[in-house]
This record gives sequence, structure tokens and C-alpha cells, in this order.
Amino acid sequence: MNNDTHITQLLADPDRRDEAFRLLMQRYGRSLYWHIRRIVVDHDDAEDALQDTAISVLAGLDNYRGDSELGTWLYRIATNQALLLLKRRKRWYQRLDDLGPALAERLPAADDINAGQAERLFQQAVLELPTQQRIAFNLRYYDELPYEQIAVITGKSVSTLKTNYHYAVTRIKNYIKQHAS
Amino acid sequence: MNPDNRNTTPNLPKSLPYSESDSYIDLLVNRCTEQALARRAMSEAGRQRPQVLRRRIVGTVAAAAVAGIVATVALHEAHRPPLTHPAPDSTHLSWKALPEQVAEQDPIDALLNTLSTDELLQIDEPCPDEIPEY
Repeated sequence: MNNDTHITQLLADPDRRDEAFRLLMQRYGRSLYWHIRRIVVDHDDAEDALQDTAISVLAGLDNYRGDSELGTWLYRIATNQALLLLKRRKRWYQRLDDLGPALAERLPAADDINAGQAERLFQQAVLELPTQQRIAFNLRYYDELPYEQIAVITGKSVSTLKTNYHYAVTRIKNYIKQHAS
Repeated sequence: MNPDNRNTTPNLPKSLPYSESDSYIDLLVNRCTEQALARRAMSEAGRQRPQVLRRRIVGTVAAAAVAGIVATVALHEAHRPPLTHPAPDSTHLSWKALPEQVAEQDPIDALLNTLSTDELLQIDEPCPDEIPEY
């Protein structure tokens, strides 16, 4: 039996909703953390946003109608919580799309043994993307989601996502070429 | 999730420059899960507070509001200037003469009594020496 099907059945029983919630977080928690972390970069911020995501998911379980897949629904909540956190952290005059350089400063130091040069440079390139484009890129590239699911998570059309992904890849490659020593 | 495994970017690294292990993240996820459940339980317990406690809180707030209003009024009254009734022979220039007093006064005095302080100060009574010869 598909895990999501089993969880959905548990959700239908109010007395087993907590059990369903725990299973949901066990199944998707790690993916949600890394999705959030790729948006906010800082670990402490990712932890805060993950906590807010868990609270929102639990509160929303009573109203979950199965209009979208469970995973898609969770990713949508996590994306919104990550963006809310960025909005709280930014200064009033900053736009979300201008946070790239500030977020890049939160990447692990270049001399950290666990932070490879290539990975760091790649993340810097990704952080140069506009926020929404970056989110869509991450979902496609790291989570390997189909465009149809990314469209539900981000609220963008499939055609827009495909175009943006193509431009994002070009920009990332150009950035790496310019900055690779 | 339903992965679409077409590899569209073959030459870019997929790993992230972060050091947190899977086991650490799993512990973090469990903690967030249990904290969300605990928070919801506390929220529900708060909503079921006994009626007595609710009435006590409402009563305390109402008493504080009344005390605040009384204190505000008392403070206002303490700083209010006292009402005074000037004596009939007061030289206070803004005092208006009573009709019977006006009848007994010199006509000039009666006129002066109708003027305000500013108007009176504007009257420049000439010295006799300053009156030019006609």
C-alpha cells in the first residue's frame, strides 16, 4: 500500500490524526527540511521554519480535503513558511529577490572541510537567482519533481516554470564560469 | 513524491555544502513534530479554562478599568482652576460691571468697563504736554 494512501486513511479518522501527523513528518520531514534550508540557507532559520511548518501542517490536517497530493500540500506549506521567515528577516527596504548576496554569506566558510568548493560556488550561483525562480529551480533540480507538481506548489504555470528553469540553468553555468578559479 | 528522473543538468553538483547528517535532521524533525503536538494540546487546554477563572479575570480587568477612570477624573479635578467670583470693586480688567453698578459710574468709567484688557492697553492717554496747540 502506498504510504500516502495509508496516511490519508488515518487522517479520515479523527482519533488517529496525531498518528497520521507523525507518519507524515517521518516520511517527508527530511525532504521538507532541505527544501527549506535551500531557501533560507541558515540552519537555525531552517529549524524555525520547519517548526512553523509542522505547526501549520497539524493545524491544517482537519481541513485537508485531498485536493492535492499530501507531499505537494506539505511542500506548499513549507515554501510559504520559508518565504515568511525571509520576509521577517529582511530589512524593510529590501526586496526578497535582493537577498541573494546576504544569504550567500551564510554559506559555510570556504575552508570548512565539509563545504566543497564546487558545491559552495554552485550554491552562490543559485542564490543569485530571483527567489521564486530559485525555489522552482530547487524543486526541479534537487527534488526532481515534475513541473505539474511544482506548478501547484509555486502557483506558476508549467510553461513559465520550464522557461524559468532553462534561464536559471544558463545563469548558473555562466556564474560558475566567471567565478571559478 | 513522483520523481521525474530526467537529468537536465548533468554537469552541476547535486550535493549541498552543509554538514548536518541525516540522523541529526531526523532528530530535528521528531522534535518539531512533538513540539507541534504539545503546543496544540496546550492551546486546547487553555480553551477549556474553568468558568470561575474566566469570571475572575473579567472582574479584575473591569475593576482596573473603573479605578483608572476614577483616578483620571480625580486628577483632572485637582488641576482645574478654582471658580472665583470677583468682588464688585475688583480692578480685574476683564470683569464686567453689573447694570446697577454701571448706572452709578462715571460715563467714561462705564465705557472703560466694557473694554477688554488688550483694548485698554491700546488706549494711549496723551500727556497734556503732548497735546499740540490748536
